[in-house]
Amino acid sequence: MTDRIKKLRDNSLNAINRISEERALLMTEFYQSGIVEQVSIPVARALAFEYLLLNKQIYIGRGELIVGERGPSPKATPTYPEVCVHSMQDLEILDTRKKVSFKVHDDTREAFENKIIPFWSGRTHRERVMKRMTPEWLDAYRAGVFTEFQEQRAPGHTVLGDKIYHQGLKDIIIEIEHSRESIDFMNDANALARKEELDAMEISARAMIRYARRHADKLAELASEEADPVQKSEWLELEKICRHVPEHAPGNFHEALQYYWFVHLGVITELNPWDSFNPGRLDQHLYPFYTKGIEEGSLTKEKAVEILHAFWIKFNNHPSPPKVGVTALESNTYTDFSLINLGGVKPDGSDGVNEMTYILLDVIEEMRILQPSSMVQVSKKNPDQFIHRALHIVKTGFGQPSVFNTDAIIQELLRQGKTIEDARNGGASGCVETGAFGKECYILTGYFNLVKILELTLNDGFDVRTGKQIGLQTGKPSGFKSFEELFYAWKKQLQFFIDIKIRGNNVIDQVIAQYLPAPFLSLFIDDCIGNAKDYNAGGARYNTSYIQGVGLGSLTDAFTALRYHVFDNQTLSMDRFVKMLGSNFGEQEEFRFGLIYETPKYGNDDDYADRHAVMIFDAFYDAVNGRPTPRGGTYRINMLPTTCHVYFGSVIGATPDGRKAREPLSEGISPVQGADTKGPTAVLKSAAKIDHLKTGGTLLNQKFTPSFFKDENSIRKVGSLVRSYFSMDGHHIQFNVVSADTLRDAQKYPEKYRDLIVRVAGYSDYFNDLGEDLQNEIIRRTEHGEM
Amino acid sequence: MECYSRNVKVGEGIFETEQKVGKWYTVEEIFAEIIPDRQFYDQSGGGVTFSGGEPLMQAGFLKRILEKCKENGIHTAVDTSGYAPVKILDEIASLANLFLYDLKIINNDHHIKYTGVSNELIISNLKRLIGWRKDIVIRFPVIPGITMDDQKISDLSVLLKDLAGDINNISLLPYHPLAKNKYSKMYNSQEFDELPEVSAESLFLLEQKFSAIGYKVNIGF
Repeated sequence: MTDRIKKLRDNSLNAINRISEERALLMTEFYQSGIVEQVSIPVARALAFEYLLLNKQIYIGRGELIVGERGPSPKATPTYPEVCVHSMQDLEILDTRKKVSFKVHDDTREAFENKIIPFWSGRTHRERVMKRMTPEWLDAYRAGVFTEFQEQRAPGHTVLGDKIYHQGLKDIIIEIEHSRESIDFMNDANALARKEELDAMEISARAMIRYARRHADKLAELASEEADPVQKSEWLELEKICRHVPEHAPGNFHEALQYYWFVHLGVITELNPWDSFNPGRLDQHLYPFYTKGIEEGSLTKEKAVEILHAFWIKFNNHPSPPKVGVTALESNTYTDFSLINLGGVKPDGSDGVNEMTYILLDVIEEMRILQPSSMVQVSKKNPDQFIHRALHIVKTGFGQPSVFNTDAIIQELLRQGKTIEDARNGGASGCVETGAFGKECYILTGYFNLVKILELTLNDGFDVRTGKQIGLQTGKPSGFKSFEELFYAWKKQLQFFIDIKIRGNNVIDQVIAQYLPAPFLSLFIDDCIGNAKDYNAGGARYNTSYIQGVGLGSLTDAFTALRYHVFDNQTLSMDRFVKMLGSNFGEQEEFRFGLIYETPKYGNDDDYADRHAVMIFDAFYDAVNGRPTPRGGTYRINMLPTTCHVYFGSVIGATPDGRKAREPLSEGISPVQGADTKGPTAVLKSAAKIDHLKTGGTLLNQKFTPSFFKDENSIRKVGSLVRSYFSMDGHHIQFNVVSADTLRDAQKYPEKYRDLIVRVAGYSDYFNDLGEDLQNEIIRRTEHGEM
Repeated sequence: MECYSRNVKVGEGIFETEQKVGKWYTVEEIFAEIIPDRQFYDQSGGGVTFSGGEPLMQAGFLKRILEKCKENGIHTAVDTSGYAPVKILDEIASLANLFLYDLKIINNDHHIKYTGVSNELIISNLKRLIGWRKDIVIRFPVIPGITMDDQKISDLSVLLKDLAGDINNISLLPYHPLAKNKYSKMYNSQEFDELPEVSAESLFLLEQKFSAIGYKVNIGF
């Protein structure tokens, strides 16, 4: 990387995450001005957006090649009081907590105490939502049966297609005008709502044009005062770019990226949507600009790389806006999940890997920063060279890129009713969620605690932790005369709580549709303009709502243990088993040992255990998939936890798989930590038994030491492993490359690392099974490789 | 078959459990372990490797499991010292796809000194395998002070040059002291003579030498 990039990167890494009161204050001012009462809600939101863009501070850093910040400076993070307002206590926690902290300056505190909290208390979206939730929803929510995604953040969860590369905002405004002309005021009952929405969209578009011009003006000013000739010419070049985009379609590589960045800022300034925003198939979009620039001689590879480096750093300056209360445990990270997709196939189905794909992979490897996230889409049409290049980066252990199965994604989207072109242009975003980029609103509505349902079933619907009867009375567990009766009871409880979740979701959907439109975001997702309907109100071509199932591995092992011990081998009666769980295994450490080491487990290609994974999956699928949403969409499932398996574990006592009370659950569809002892091929076989194509994404993590990637031959083998998993329709796999420190930890706590495999001498073995000398030798080798 | 104790930590408790070092399997049981991974073999072009100990010392069993794999289209490799009667070699050669064949020392006197047996049979068996047109990878343990001196390397090169064209893969296995643990468990003794590590440079020189006579060299641990 160049010196300037090094500097920008350092600045980004060293910038302190802090709360900025700017947006909240501006929003407060606007809402106090009296305008809101005089216009429709969509128009009010658009005017608020305009107010923000015209009045917020413009930050431009020396040496930047892409400009624009959400806050007054890098990592100065705004809050969204119209969605939810942080209390003084929240600010205290954010300021002082060890992990993922946000500093709070005195004037910030003062602004919250004197202006923001007093105005917004009682006016927030969150309060609006919670007020409308039924007592049974609140009980389930507080018991940790599910989480609610739409109480603190706007729905979001979407990715840009290729619209901005062909259309400037002025062209989009023309699109709006056409749509307005076709509104039928004679026969359409919703004609006025349509007009208001289109008006709001137009206001937002024009506001963004003016925002870009503010940057251009500032750049001109900086240039006029700049002594350094190089910096001066760069300011002037950027000024030109900011006068051209986003008003006009981008004419070159640099303009394309700056245009995207302005849109990104707009989306995350308008609201705090989940997963911020995402340029999606970036290699596909940039490739034509890149090749044109190279051919014309107006762009060099070095310059393109430098601009991309600068672009990358912008994402890193924008941490996920902090939440309040319990949801902090759900997803406690600075990452805002902008998951850039590389590879995959073109709309005609052919291999999409191109020169820009490899350039971007180089960028990812070199930048090594937290944001943006990245992944590779691997299709049977893509060459092995592509996978191998990605694995070389995985080997370095910084957790990117993750690996996705394009062919599975396309099938998932087709099954959901997308056209083949929209399916091929899609991909995965956030963690692993499948979507038709640029055309779909595919929101996650919350995590669902599948394991908690079992705990409730074993207690006749009573939640021990909150001391309330929140579930159905499916009977005392000793009354289950067969495993099937137990599972049937679990299924009934599952359906009961899914219904509560969906009923709640449907209310929230309508609250959002009415009170929290996103007219700026709606400009860019088809077919919102054509439908004259907001993204948050079902305007997109496709609308999907997901419920994410958490704890598949843990629950499979729990059911397996119950079948094995209570029903098949009668080692223990159900009554005594439940009592033992109630006492957190009390005096029965030896029995717990047997549950962990001598009972069949998911992840070992053992159908005795794995069949329960399929049963659980099918039940969850049947309870959710296909049900209609108020926005004209469909409910579907996916299986990812982010970090919610930790929170969900904390609300559950001891479980039949031998897990102690409050400990984390398994994550994604991975086996319980340490339960897989037959190697990665067995894990993949187990994971492939559920029907991935019926989901909108599954998450699988595998731990390897760097030696698995040590040379071309080894990389080829890992590549084969990936292809094999994908040939079984696996959706995603992520390689967690362990460090020497992890190995040392494994020496101290072997029971946490039963699944850790290392390469020894021409073969692989479980680290736990090696003598201490050998372990030390391997640690030494790993360390050596790290240097 | 040996059993020995090991301590396993679970939470705060430490439980003693026996670790068996061997187990009796039928051909069907082994095959049931092999077949579930077939998708992975198909994808990678890999298969099953039979190693040891010395697999040719369980020739009857080996023959039957190799037959089963062959029937089912699964690629097989046998990792062997080659020290076995010709009749057995022939039987196995007709069934396995690939041989990982150890060549330790070419000079017969020294071979007897360090392994206790002559290498005449080993070398003639190797040539016989070539006659069977089998895929062969030579495995050469690189042990300081024992297999590494110039004369020994030269002897090996002469033989390999002779066989080049029929064989063209060699794995260099650098010495490591990892057997120490196993040694102390097997012989209940701490008297394990550790040798110096093999330097990367000497491995590189060996690699060059064998590449020069037409061999693809893999350095493995």
